[in-house]
Amino acid sequence: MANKINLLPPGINIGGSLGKILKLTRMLGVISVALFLIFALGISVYLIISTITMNGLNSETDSLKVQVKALESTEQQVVLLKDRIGKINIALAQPEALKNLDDVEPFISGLGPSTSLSQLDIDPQKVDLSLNFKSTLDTSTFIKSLSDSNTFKSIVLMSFGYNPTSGYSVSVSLTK
Amino acid sequence: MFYKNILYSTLPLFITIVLFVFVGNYGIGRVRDLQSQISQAKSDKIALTEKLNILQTVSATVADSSLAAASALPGKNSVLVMRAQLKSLAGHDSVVLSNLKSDLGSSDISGLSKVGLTFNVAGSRTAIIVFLKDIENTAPVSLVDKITFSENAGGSLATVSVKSFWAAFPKILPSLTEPITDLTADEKSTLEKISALSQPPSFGTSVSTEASGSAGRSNPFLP
Repeated sequence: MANKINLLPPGINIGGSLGKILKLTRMLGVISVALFLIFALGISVYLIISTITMNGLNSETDSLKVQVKALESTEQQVVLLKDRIGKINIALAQPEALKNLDDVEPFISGLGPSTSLSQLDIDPQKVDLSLNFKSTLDTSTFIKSLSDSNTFKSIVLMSFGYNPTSGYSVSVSLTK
Repeated sequence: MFYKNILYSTLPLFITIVLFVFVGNYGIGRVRDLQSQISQAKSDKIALTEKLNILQTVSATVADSSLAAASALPGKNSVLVMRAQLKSLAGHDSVVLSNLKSDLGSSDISGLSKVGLTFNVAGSRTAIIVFLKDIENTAPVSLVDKITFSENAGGSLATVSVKSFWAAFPKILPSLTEPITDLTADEKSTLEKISALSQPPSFGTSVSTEASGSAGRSNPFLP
């Protein structure tokens, strides 16, 4: 039967649960050093690869910047063109009277030779039209052409008069 | 000896934990920093590649288009050009232009400025209508604001208000890496319209503007 021989002084001997804990701590220490080395190596490799990638991207970007810079006059023209077009669209969206002139033109161009246009006021909102007709037929034809048309949403007969010398005077206000 | 034993057992673990904390903190910070730089560089590369492609594609045609656009909406008050255009149009359309007046002009928050012109135009009814329509087919961009038309035995007379537009040219180019887009369908349609406008006879591309102190590249519009 083997005898347990302890050559160390009794105060130095660490036994029992404390000994087990210290042994476990030493093991954990070794494992953590190994893990740390792997971690540090991993981070270092990642940083090296990322730096190489970054440098590659930077050189590509720098090369592209040089090429774009060489086309600066073209870029200036594109910027100017887009700026102008944006502002022109704002300008063209503003109300104007010419659309109303286009709408009323068919009615005044179809007037007979005996009919005179005494006054035509056109603004972006409405058209005020005053006409003198010599005959009843011309008057009724004109009013019928207005009422048959779908061009204007509202047709208001502002005045209607008759003078034996000048004939019928008709004023209408037209809105879309 | 007892404490030495405990120290030898725990010290490596303690040192490793400290190293983990410091190296990990620094390393992960650097990794995040690099990731963000790479991501930024990638997006810059994409933007620059697209920008380069667009610029190379439009380089042959954009000069004429920008010239037409600058003529349609000048960088300086368009009143003198518009007055000349009206006189030229009146001669072309066989109408008599008189009492041509203009106001001082005004600007709005979009940077668009307008100047009002009023005038009388005499001639046949048809000629006046053609003249009025031609105004909106002429550069600089103008809109007929109001027409008062009267007729007598001598002919027709119209009193017309027109507003003509202008806007200061842009002062800076966007940053190099800022993406640029090609013209949209709507913008192309507007470009077609303004390219068809009849140009003022002595139109030149005076695109000089004042230098700007704001961020971005230096003023490329300076001579």
